[in-house]
Amino acid sequence: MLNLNSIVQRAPDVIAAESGHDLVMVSVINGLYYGISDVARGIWEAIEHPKKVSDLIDDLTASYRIDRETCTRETISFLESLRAEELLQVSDGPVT
Amino acid sequence: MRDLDLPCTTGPARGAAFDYVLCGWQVRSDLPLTAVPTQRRAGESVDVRIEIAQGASPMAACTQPYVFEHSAARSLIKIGEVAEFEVSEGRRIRVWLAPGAARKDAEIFLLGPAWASLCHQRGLLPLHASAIRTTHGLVAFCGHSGAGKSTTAAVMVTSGYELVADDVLPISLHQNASPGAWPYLRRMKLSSESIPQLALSPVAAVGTRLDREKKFVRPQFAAADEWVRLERIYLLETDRGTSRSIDRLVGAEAVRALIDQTYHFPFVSMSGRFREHLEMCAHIASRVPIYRLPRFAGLGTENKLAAVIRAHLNGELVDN
Repeated sequence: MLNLNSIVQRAPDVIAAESGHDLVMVSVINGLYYGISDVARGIWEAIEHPKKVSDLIDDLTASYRIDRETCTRETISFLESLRAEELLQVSDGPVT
Repeated sequence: MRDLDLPCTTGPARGAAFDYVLCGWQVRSDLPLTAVPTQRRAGESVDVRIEIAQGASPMAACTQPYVFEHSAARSLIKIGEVAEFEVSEGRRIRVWLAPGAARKDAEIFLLGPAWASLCHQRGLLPLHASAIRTTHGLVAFCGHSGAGKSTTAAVMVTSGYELVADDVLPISLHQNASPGAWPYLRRMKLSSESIPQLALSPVAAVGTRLDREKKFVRPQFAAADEWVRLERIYLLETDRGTSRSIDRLVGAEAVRALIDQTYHFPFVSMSGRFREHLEMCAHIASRVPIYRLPRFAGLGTENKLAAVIRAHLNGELVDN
């Protein structure tokens, strides 16, 4: 289970291409294609490099009008869905 | 009525090769292609060679009835009891006919997955689509098998448009990066029941043992051999309930439609060419409008469908 101290980063075997405001991605591992937009796209772009979940939520609450509790719940839920699709790497160590 | 089952080609005597122009390429084939006119462009070298191979195929030792193996430069396709195909470097297709197999049945797979693999190898995007030419450019009708691609294109051709391709439309990029296509197979593969409804006449059966319920029909109007810009794509859908709206797909949804309608997608997944494929689909989706076109029950005759499409092409229907 992800928590605020988890460090997350995009999985390396994911290819992405822009289409208007959306981002379309394909996992080289499972050959599945995904589409994301809006805030989800922003999160994806923010985790190009290792990032602590709490730092990510700090950035999101600073950029969007959303309370911290809701942002934390929805961000972790989205990150969990990325992990379930093998699109996310997770570690508990310090950001290097 | 007895079905006509003629090669419908004029050309060299038995044993010699036949020349065609497909996708803008000069093609020399040992296999005669049904209802495709032979054509030789003066002074042009052969771009694609289709050979009836002798001896053992690379899949001879494989006991599985169906094989699809793809790398970036070589594809191996085995269709049990019909034929085996090796597609190399986007330039050559070797065909091993199964004992007792009919050439016409092999032709179905030669001009379907084998040709699509050749297009993939050359960096084109073969779409599962039929297409017509309008004054504004190409209009493609995409959809899964049974969605009505050929019938829709046939209806439009009977009302005066030129046929560009049926079932497979290989999309290429112009020097200015515009998506478009050269004509591919300018013959229509229609069900026996739809042919009289469209007041058309069959010229040949599609297959000998396979696809026997379908017949080839020559279009009244066929597009000339030139590259034409892709103006728009319609995605034919039969499962949208009572929806009558023509919706434009945008963003990821548009890219997804092109991914779903990629002909012989296993080439992409097996060869690992995800990046090239995704970038091509995203590029096309950013340049060419894609619309969902419902083919719901109750629309009425095919002529009504043609009227709806014509009105949409002319801007008389508002996009949703």
